[in-house]
Amino acid sequence: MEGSDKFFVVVIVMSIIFTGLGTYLFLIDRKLSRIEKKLKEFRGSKNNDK
Amino acid sequence: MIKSMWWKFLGLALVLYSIIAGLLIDVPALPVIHQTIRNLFYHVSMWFAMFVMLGTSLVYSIRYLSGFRMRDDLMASGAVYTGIFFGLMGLMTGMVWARFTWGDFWTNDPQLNGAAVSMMAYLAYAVLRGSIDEVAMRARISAVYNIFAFMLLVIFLGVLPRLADSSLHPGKGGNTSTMEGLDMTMRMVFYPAALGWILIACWLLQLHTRRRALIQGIH
Repeated sequence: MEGSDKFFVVVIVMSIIFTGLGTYLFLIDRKLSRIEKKLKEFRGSKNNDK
Repeated sequence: MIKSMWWKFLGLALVLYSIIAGLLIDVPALPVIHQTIRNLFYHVSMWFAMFVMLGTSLVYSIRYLSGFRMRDDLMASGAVYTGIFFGLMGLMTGMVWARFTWGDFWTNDPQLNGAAVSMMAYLAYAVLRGSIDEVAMRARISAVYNIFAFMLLVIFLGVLPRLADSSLHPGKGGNTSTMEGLDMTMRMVFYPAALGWILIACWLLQLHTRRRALIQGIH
């Protein structure tokens, strides 16, 4: 591709959108991990009470 | 945490690379399809991801039938739903591509009709699951059906299009394979793209099943 048609700008825009989506996915993943950890602790403390 | 997540970042990086490189590399000049050959990196990757998801689902269905663990049923159904998602993406992107190269959104191509039939078979899986209330029975019946659905998928997408008299798809109906006509530059983008999307599909499947495991209290 020739660089004269500013096509690279479109490539940059698409890359930003995809990186944003990826970041969003990563944040969901981290939040899930936190909930899982909390649930594990909750289950653990319930067993200690018995 | 970063240690166990490396493959997710690899998937993101590979797809990002395929977006950038896929648009910037020089592609061979081909009649009719012209620049749309770049769709190969994105459209075909959807089908690769779908196949891996539905294959994963088959493995977990067989595992469920040999041990009756709810965790396996969760993975099997989650993989089918993720697979359906990528299948629908493949169908939609394929329809747009077909409109501008073959002239119509839907052509009477064995590959297209096969893809539609197999998607129907997996949508029926979702309907079947939704119609059974008893959890163990739902898991068992849908696992058996899933094995049957995968056989349909292999026949309709893997076997029949290759046996057909004619097809617009490369590698099918006596056409030469895409891979034979694919030059090295395009391979350097296509393989990472397919692998990247497969990894992202695995990530989506993992997020899906982890969320449902939390809701249903399966661990």
